[in-house]
Amino acid sequence: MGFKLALKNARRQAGNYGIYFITVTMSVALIFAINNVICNRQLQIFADTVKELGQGLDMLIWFIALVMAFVLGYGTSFMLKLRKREFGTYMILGMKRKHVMKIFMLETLLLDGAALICGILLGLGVYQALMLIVCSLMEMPPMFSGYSKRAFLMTILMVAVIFILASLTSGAYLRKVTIRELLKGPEQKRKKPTAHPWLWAFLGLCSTGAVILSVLFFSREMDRWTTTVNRNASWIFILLALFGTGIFGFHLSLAKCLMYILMKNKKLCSRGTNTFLLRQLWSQLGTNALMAGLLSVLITFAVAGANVSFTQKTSAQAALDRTVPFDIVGCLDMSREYAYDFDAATSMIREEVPIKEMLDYNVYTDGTRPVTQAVGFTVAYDMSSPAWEEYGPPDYYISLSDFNRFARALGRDELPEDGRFYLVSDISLELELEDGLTLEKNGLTAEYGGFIDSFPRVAFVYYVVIVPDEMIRGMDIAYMYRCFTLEDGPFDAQALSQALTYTDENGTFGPEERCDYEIKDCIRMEDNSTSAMIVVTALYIAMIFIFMAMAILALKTLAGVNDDRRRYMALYRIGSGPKVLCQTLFRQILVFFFFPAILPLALSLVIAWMCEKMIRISGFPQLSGSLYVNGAVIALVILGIYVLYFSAAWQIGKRNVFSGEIHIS
Amino acid sequence: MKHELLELKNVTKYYGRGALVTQALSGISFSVEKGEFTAVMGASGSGKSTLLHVIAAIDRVSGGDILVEGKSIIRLGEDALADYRRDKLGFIFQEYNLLDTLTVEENITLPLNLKKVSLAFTRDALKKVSEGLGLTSQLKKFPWELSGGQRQRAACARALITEPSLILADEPTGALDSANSRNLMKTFCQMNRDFRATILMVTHDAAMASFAGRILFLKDGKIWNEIYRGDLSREQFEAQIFHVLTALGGGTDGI
Repeated sequence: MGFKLALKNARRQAGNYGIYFITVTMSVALIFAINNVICNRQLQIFADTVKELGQGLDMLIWFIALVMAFVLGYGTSFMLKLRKREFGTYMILGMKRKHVMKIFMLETLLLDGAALICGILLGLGVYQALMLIVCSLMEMPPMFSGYSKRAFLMTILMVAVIFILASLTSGAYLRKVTIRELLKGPEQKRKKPTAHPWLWAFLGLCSTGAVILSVLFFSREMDRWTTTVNRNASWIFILLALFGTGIFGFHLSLAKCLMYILMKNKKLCSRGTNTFLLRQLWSQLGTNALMAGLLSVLITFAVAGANVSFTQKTSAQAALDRTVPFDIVGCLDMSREYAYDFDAATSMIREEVPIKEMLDYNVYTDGTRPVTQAVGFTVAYDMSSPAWEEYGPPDYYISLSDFNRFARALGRDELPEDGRFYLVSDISLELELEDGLTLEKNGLTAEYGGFIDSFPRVAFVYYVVIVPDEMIRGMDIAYMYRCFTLEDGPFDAQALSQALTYTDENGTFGPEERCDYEIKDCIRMEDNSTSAMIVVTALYIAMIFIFMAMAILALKTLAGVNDDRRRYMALYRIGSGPKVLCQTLFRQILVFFFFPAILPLALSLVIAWMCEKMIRISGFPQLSGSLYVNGAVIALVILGIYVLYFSAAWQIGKRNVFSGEIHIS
Repeated sequence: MKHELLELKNVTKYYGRGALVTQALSGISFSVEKGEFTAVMGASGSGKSTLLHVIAAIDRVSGGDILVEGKSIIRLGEDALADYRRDKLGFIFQEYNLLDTLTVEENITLPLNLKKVSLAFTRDALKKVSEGLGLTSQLKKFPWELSGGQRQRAACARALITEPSLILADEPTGALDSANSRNLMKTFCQMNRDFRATILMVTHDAAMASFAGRILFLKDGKIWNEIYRGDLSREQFEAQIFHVLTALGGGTDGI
């Protein structure tokens, strides 16, 4: 009897439960896909080599499970709310509480069961799409990824646990609730719309100020990065917190006061159903102001995460080309012992892959630091410290001819033999040096010629001083460099790196693994895995945030459908045409739905601007144009998904509100 | 000279399909003159509310014709019907149907907003109707802050503000106690007298019906009887109503 009734109810209510069904199905699909990613053997092998990847994925699955538990729990309570009167009637008719609970659980089980099947089917596709992205990011050939039995079982287990938790919560409610509450709803103290709207408006202005300030400070701090080498990033988190708080406060306040302010415009209110609409929204947004604030923060960070991850991916290759400008860069520190000199390493490399060209050069020092003192890198080195004289790093020099050979090999402009000295660095800096600064070495005097920033890395130091060849005489070699350009063709970069790695017994902190040769392909693979993890994690979290926001908004919209039906019916009876009612409901749901999303979506371009600034400061201005395109595409994709969910909520809402007397053609 | 505001010609209304057809109205014909206060009485299921719904065009008739100010409404489209309800009718319901999210003032002026009249006109109309019905001090309140009687007066003000041709009241005292019911009926009489409002009220309460000038008695979807108050006092009229109701309720089997 219970099962038959539950089956009949589930089928009859299928239309009303559309949003709940879509929500559970999407949740299952997301869980199933990420479980398969985690259980993917190739990825597991890779994760073993890159520890962060494995840890990141483990954290991701728990995060998703938590979010899904919240969404599904909310969905189940929404279903219960929608059916309260019906359950009250069952109990009035003499049905026992345990039977009502049984019917509700059976219905939920049937719906969740169907959603589980649909979700897993959808998840099969989501998983393949996800793996294609991962393969593409890791520069692996696209392939069909096998499904995991473990992932399948994990998904069922997780969904079952979430279902049991949600059912227990609903069961506890049904056990305690009175029949009267079920039939009439709890005694609610009706409240007037938001108190102190002007106070909220003031808070909204403060929040707007916080958002603008955080963006301006971000911009200023970014600029400061160009004048310092000691780049402490802790302020980023403070500004992010300020930014997030501002976004939250802005939406919270706006939800509380916007409609009040609009209602001050009597002319606006006197037009058609505007007063009704504004009051509806005031009530809806006022009640859900906290949720609107939270969702807006989630969507903003989803947008920011997606933008930053794409920026990171965009700049990764350019950054690698700068830090490791040749296929292999060998660096021998003359102050330390090393296992493989250049000849030995060259032989080992030749065994793996043919060498096309080699470039040797040295970096010198005489132990003094006149340039550093003149540049005044106080933020990089604490020059006021007594230890400075003893332990502060000296200046490092490269001869002009060596530098020009290095530049020529990379197709860069050479420096003229003008008897002046230059500074070169791979980081982006704006140095302010006094005019007429001179450097004296070996009886020769060289004037300062200029600073070349964002140049391919010459040495593993902040900057190198390029001096005329004669000035190098008598200096000690600090580092010897050999750069290898390899013939095209595949080789096992990781094996080569392993072969060139040795244990340094005299490491700074005891015995340590050390390799004096940076192999570009090896670093690229590590960078790619990091990029893949950042991009996939950011996008997946962004997707979950967006999905959660939409599901909650849709459920909230539909939860108020009974009250809306009554109000729209009254409007209809006093002479509002079906078309006007339809437009009013559309506008109501549209504003409620998009309220927490419009600003975050618009901020996508502001975030793209921030990313562009970061990229520009990092010395890759040529990449900055694509970031605005990325920002716009991210906003459009999110908007597209949002519109789909909105359409579903609108159709179901319309069908429910305009059932009965009102005939919508 | 008679000014017929509303005229029903042989109106029928069926619900359901096939074997489950129920006839709610069975060839009803009557007319209401401008400025008349008419009550409709009858037992449950006699077709009172259906009659009101078809006049309000909330339900479509199955046959016959309904003329308002000489024009048929039965073939009007949805938009034209909405305009008809907005411009010609005022509604008063048992459950008030005030919008709980709107203040009393906003509720009352809503029909004028729907008509898109000027702000100045709305202000004047609000002043007139709220003063007339003693609602001036309640305008900024929300419906749930008012008593049942005050709410129903607010509903009356909303129905009156557009100066409709016809006010339809569906069991308006159904949710009120007897004191408030009497007060409401006095308000109806005042509306009828001061605002020249034409009122068609459905009720099952003889005491309330006795405030009207004419009563239509419905039975099985037909007009069974019709009485006018004329020069009778309200008490005398009420007694006459009871007399008709007794006859209406009695069968032919003598029980």
